[in-house]
Amino acid sequence: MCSLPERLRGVVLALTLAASAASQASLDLSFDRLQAPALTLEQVSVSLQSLDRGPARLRIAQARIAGRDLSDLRLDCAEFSLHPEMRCRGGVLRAHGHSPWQLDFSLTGAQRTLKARVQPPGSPPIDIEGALAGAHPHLRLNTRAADLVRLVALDPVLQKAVAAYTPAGRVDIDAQLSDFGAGRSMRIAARLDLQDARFSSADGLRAAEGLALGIEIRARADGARWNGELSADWHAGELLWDAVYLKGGGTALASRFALDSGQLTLSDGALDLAEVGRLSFFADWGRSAAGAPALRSARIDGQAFDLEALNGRFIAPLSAVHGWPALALSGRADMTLSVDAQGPETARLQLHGVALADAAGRWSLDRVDADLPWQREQPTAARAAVAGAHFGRIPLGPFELRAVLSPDRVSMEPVRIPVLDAGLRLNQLEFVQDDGRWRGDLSFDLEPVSMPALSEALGLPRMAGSFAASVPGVRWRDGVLALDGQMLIRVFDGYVAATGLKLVEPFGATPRVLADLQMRYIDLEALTDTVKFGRVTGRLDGDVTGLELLRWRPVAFDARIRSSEGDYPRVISQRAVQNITALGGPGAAAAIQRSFLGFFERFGYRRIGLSCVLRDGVCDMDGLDHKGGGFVLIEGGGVPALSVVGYNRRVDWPELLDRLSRVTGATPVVR
Amino acid sequence: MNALKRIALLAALVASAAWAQGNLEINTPAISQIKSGMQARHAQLAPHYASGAVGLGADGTVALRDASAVPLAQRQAVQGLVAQENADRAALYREIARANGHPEWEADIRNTFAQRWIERAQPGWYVQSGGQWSRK
Repeated sequence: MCSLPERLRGVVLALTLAASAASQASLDLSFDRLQAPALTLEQVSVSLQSLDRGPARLRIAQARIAGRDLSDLRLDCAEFSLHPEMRCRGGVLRAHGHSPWQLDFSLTGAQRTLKARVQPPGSPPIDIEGALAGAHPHLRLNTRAADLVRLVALDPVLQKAVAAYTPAGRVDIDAQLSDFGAGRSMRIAARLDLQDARFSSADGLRAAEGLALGIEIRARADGARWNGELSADWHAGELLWDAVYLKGGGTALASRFALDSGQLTLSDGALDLAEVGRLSFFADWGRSAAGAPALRSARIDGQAFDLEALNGRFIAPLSAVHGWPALALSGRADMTLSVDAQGPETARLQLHGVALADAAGRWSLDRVDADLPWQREQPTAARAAVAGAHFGRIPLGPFELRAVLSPDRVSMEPVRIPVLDAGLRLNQLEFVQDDGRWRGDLSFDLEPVSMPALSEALGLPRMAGSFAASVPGVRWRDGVLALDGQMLIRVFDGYVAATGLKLVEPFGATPRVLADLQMRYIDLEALTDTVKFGRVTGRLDGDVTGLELLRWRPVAFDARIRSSEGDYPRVISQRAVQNITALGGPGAAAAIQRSFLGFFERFGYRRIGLSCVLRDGVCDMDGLDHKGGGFVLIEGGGVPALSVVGYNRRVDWPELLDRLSRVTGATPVVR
Repeated sequence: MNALKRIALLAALVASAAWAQGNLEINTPAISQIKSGMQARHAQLAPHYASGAVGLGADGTVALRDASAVPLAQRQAVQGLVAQENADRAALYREIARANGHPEWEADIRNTFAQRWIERAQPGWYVQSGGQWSRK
């Protein structure tokens, strides 16, 4: 192994010796070929007019220097001397296809002390100083505010690789090469400071502006191997890489490295992300069978990451770009990932006192402590303890989830989640990956929740009864959550049953709910007391078929409500009659004589019936029967009897909701 | 074979005749909800149409055609706006087709809207045609 300066020195020495052979006279020398490792010069000729002081000329027809070919290489020194030191003043270096470079240099003494200044056209000068011989040969290269574009252009391969990103900027370089030469271990110490650097892809989605970046590299050769350390400190500027946007300041990278014939190892690596935390890493690259660089193993550890900062800098912006709902996140997390040649091998995420919530406040998980390990080759046991949660306005008590995780299956142990005065029992929750797609199965029971507690939590009028559900099967397939069987809600002494319940893309832009509902034997007195509608005594059945909610609002249904079969008291108050009349709009009042109404507080009735077919924002209403161009909503019976007839069949749905909220003094939940 | 072709042609004509009767202005609560979301977003998108950062695609979507026209720090937000707008537009076409009682018209409705957006684009906005962007 022979280093580049060693080879150069060989050439310079050869020239010097050749020149010393003659004295005081003009001199012409030529060589067919001069060769050293990584350096081949062909048809070299040197011409000096004087050894003391005078013009000198060097011509090289073909040169191959460190793999780069140059032709017609010429150095002309306006003033060249060999004694007492070798010196070239006013030198110009030219090569075919390149602009001329100005070059001054001197080489002095036994240590062959070199001082040179090279100035590429349009660039600041590059100073090179050092000793080429002696116990500690060294060379130091220094330049300030060099143009990044011109530097990149020095390496055609690099130039081609980064051309699509149009890099620009200025860089200060201070690099030192020492202890080169046979039998020594070469050392490199370099510092690069980039200022106002920028780049941009054609579409502008991968770009940086105003980058200020300091890079330091120290390395020592050990035979063919290089060992060293590198660090990078990103002081300022902004970077966009697809969906990830970062601002500089406080972001720093440091690592040891070892480079050996195509094998690169990074160890003791640390990446500091301002305010978020520090990632430690190790990575090892080798060559694949095809000779391409390939990651052989890697490990990343992060301790006590600040999730609020991580969310603000990475997670939230990524969600926004993809149109996902924003999350509020706080607490700490430890994370570990190890990778081998086949890909991720093990991973572990530990959460400490984490609060996770939908940014819109629809749900939250408070104080989550979790340990979520994952291994490629075998199942792992995960657990998460949640101190409390809320879903909508409903608070959930503390619970602990335990699950078995494997790459193609997640199955959770049965768990009871406290809900108000009852519990939600998840009997089965399993996600399985099949053909690259995840499907899930769930079964649960909701223990009877008291309706007074539930209605209070929901901010609704206090209701009697209880709410319970038993759901033997919920399936998740291709974005559709479908319920097998029936969900039963016991309320107002009767029940509401939901069948065929489907949620289509519940987390998408247009969540859709499909269901059929059956209501049986609802106690109207309890219901009307609750919604302050006026009092109605009796029982009610109802059927809602083809219910469809889009973005959680009804867009279609066929609904019918009617008095239940059976024998029970049927009484309606004056206020309830007025409210039902108001619901029917101005036309509905036609059959009622106000003067007559005024005498009585309560009326008997035989049947109540109403239907509404909702399509395209219009409710097409009908009643029990038709009478004189109208439809009968309440059929009178007993003494005093009263009938209510509606005439306005087509009612705008928002208008109907508006009327409903006016008569009940509350905003209906369906709104 | 010729008979088959004739039937296919006839079917295509009938289909397009049927589509010609579709109501693009149909309104349902879902459609008005989607439209109001899009109207609210338009104020944020309009400067990006004007700068050429965002253009009107030939397929009824909007596209981030030149992010460089937006300051670096805001490019992410514009990507988010474009993603949300396209989700709403897709939902709008689907809902109009559904409201017409013909979910299979979605692609035709999308094409009709694409032309309509481009016709209504203000001078200076970028519109796409045949894969090429041009300034209106």
